[in-house]
Amino acid sequence: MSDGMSIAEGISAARKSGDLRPLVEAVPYFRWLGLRIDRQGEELITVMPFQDMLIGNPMLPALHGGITGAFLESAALISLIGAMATPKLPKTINITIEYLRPGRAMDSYATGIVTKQGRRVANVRAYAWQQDREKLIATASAHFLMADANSA
Amino acid sequence: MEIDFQNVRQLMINGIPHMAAVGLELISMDESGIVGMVPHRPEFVGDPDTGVVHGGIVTVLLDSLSGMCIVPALNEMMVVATLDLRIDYLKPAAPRQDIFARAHCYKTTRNIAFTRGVAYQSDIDDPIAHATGSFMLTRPEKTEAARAGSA
Repeated sequence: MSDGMSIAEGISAARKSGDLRPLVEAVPYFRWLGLRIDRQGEELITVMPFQDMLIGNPMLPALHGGITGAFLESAALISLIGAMATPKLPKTINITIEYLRPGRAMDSYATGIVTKQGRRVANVRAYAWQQDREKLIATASAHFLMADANSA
Repeated sequence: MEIDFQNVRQLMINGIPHMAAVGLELISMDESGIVGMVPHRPEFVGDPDTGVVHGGIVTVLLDSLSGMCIVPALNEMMVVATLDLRIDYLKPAAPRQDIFARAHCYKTTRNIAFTRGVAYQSDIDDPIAHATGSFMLTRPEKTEAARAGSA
C-alpha cells in the first residue's frame, strides 16, 4: 500500500482533502495501532480500536499504561498537524501523561487542544476517554518543536 | 523484596500482551534497577522520512520498566498503578536500532513510589530520552476488598 509515501505527502494529501487518513497511512506506527481519525466539526478525534495486544493488565483487564501514553502523544500530534500550516512533522520535546482511570478493553478516543502555537514550539493538551467523554482515562501535556525551527 | 528474575521474565513475556506485542525483553533486574529492550521493527517507525521510531515505543518501554523496577524496592507485594509519567526526548533516536532502557525506584513512601529512567541505544551515558514517574501503591487485599465492596 502506501509504503514510500513521505510524511510531507501524507500531510499535504490530508490537508488538501480535509481527510487525515493519508497521514495515518504514512506513519507505520499509526497503522500498526489501527488508528483512525474522526473529524467532528473543528475537532479531530483520534480513535484507537481495541485489540487484545494492547492489554497491559490481563487481570482487570486494562490497557497498558504505555500504550495510553503513546495514544495521547499520537492524538496530540495529529491535532497539532491538523491546526498548522506546514506539511512537516513536529518533533516531541516532552510529554507528561497523567493517568486517571484504568483504560478498559474497549475502543479509546482522544483529542488534542493546541494551547499555544509559537514559531518554534507548540504546547498541546490531550484528553483520552472511552465510553463516556466525561470520564477521562488519561490526559497529557506536551511540547512539540515545530519542524521549521530545525532549519532556522 | 527478593524476586526471581527468570520467573518475572516469563510472567511478563507470557502474561502481558502488550509487552509481548512490542517484543519487550528484560535483561537484568535487582534493587538497583531494571534494564530492558525493545527490538527495532519497521512497524514501530513514527517518521517514514527518517525511519526513526515513534515516541510511543519509548513510552511503552519506559512505562513498563518504571512500573516493574518498583517491585524489588518494596518490602511486600503491592499493586502498582501509574499516576504520572513525564518523558523528555533528549536527542533523535538513530533509525533501525534497538532501544534499551534502565529504570530505578529512588524513593518509596507508604502510598507512592518515585522512579527515574533513561532510554538509550548504543550508550547509556548518551540517552535519547529521560523519564520520571510516580506510582500509587496499594496492598493487594485492599484492592480485593474494594472490589468486593463495590460489587
